[in-house]
Amino acid sequence: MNDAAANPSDSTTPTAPVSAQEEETSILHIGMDLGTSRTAIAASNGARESVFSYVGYPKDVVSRKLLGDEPLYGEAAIKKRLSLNLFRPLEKGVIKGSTEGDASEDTEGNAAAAAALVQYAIRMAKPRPDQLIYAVIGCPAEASITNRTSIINAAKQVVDSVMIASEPFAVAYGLDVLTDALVIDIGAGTTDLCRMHGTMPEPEDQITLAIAGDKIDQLLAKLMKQNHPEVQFSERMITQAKEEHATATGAHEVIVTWPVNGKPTPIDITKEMNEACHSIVPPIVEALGKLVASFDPEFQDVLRNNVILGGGGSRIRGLGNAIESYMAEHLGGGKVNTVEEPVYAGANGALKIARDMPAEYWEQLS
Amino acid sequence: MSNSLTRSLYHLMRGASRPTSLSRLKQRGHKRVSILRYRDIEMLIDTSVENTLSKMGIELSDRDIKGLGAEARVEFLALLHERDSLRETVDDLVTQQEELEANRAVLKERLTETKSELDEEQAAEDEELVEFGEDLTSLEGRISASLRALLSDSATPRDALTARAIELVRAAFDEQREEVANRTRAEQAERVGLLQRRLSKLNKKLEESEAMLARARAAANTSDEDIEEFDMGPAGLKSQDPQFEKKKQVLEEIFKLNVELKSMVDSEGDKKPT
Ligand SMILES: Nc1ncnc2c1ncn2[C@@H]1O[C@H](COP(=O)(O)OP(=O)(O)OP(=O)(O)O)[C@@H](O)[C@H]1O
Ligand SMILES: [Mg+2]
Repeated sequence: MNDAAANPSDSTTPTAPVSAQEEETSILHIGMDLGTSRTAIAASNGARESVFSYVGYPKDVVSRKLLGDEPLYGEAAIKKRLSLNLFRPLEKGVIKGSTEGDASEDTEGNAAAAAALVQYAIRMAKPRPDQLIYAVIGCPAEASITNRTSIINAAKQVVDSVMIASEPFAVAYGLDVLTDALVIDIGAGTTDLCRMHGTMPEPEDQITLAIAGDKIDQLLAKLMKQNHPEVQFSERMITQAKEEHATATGAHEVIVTWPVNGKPTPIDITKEMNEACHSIVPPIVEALGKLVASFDPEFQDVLRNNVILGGGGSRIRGLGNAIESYMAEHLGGGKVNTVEEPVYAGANGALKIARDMPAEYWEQLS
Repeated sequence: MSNSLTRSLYHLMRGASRPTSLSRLKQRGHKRVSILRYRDIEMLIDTSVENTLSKMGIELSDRDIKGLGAEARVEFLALLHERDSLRETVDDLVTQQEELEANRAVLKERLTETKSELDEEQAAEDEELVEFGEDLTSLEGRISASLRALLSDSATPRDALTARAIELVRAAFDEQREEVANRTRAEQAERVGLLQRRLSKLNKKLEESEAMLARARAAANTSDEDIEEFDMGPAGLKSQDPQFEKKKQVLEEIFKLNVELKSMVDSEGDKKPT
């Protein structure tokens, strides 16, 4: 954005482009964070967009007439879900049905929806028709080979060259952190922990927990049913309340206005919110402890004091402090930094990788 | 089913139906019309729920069946409602987009007009001054000539006086010329300033309407406009990057992993071509 302001382009006075620059804009670099709940892109033309990872196909003749054959994406798809076949193709952080032995899902439908989503995300960057597109796609740290190849398959239909990077690595790279750091990315379906020590993380540097935003929602719903059985609410109301009021400090009062016998009623859910949000702290610190303990003893301290917290879940108020306190209690201390822009941290990092990547590498993969 | 739900259903059904008159129906030879009461729809929904349950061999208490029936009715209404709002939304978006496009066209036209006005004004500035200057110069020449003739005709020609008089005339003219030029310039500057203010306002308006249009297009899912070109500078790792060596190494590793992945994708593609 700031670069755009510094370089106002004046379409009326074209200046002769330097040939290097000309070559430059003939390539569009894109960084993508293909997430369970949200897919974000950042591109070298300044585009930064995100979309909820939903794809909906018109269900019947009537909706097709109204909506056309194009699928709807994101918010629009969620809103019109009654008229659509709705897919959330990355529900467990990877394309559903692409994990070995997982035949229960509508594999083809999900793969097609994932491909459509990747393509839509690329379109959000508004590439010029003549531009070559080089994209780095961040995918979950522990994504299997099959997962990775199916993402590549989805992407290669619309980009000229594509590389996969581990998402937590992309976040760290975006912050110029390549040495002795621990990146925690709290998404919807998974929390990915990744130990960075200067080279590409190995499988033993990564732990993926199936404990993240969705689990908080589930626990919050369970606690609500338990403690306020009279209150009526839906899954979406729970998620919305969390995204608005999430806190792990217990210091903020959380009041929602939800129906009781059909009548909107203010309800104090401070305790429930806090318990649900705090529930992810112990498993995260436990996993963190494992990654620290199995590291070179000389650098364990550095690692403990260089924890980076990202992902949508990192927006829970006071989460960094809660993790620090729990670390102090169980790991003898630690320091946590929360990224500034959780939605774009992965995409920004992926874009940085894409731009730093030597051109000949891109060409070899195209 | 509550009254308000019945009412909104009535509304929606009406909205989805095609009106006609009794006389027209008669003309076409219709003697009887069928009337669909909401109660009938309700019954149909309840019956379909019950039939489906029994077909699937699901046994539920009466209370649960009733609950499902109620759910189905609400869902039915919601669907009907959504269809209605869907049509509206799509229509709205299209009109909005059309309006914005028209508005943008008008703005662009104004902008061009104002720009050419400004150009004219700026060009006129110099022309007018030159014209004025030329007029004054010739007038000055004529007066000087007359003066010279007058004074040299007199019995006692006094060269010094002649020179002095002409000098005075010239000075007066210079002063006048200067003043006129200043006045003209000031007026011009004011007009130019005004035009420039209008231009910048129009530009701002145009920008705003472009942004609104972009939003409308995005919402209507029909956007295909290029976004404004934006230059991040040349790509590639800078050799003065403090972590140059480390990054180079990391990038190479990512590349190598992706070469492996690509070979897998390629061999997969060989196995089952699409
Ligand atoms: N302000 C907020 N406070 C708390 N949680 C939030 C907030 N905003 C978003 N979230 C939660 O963050 C999660 C989404 O995070 P993110 O967008 O990083 O996930 P993702 O990358 O799509 O998922 P994953 O990493 O599992 O693939 C959701 O559970 C969402 O409810
Ligand atoms: Mg994520």
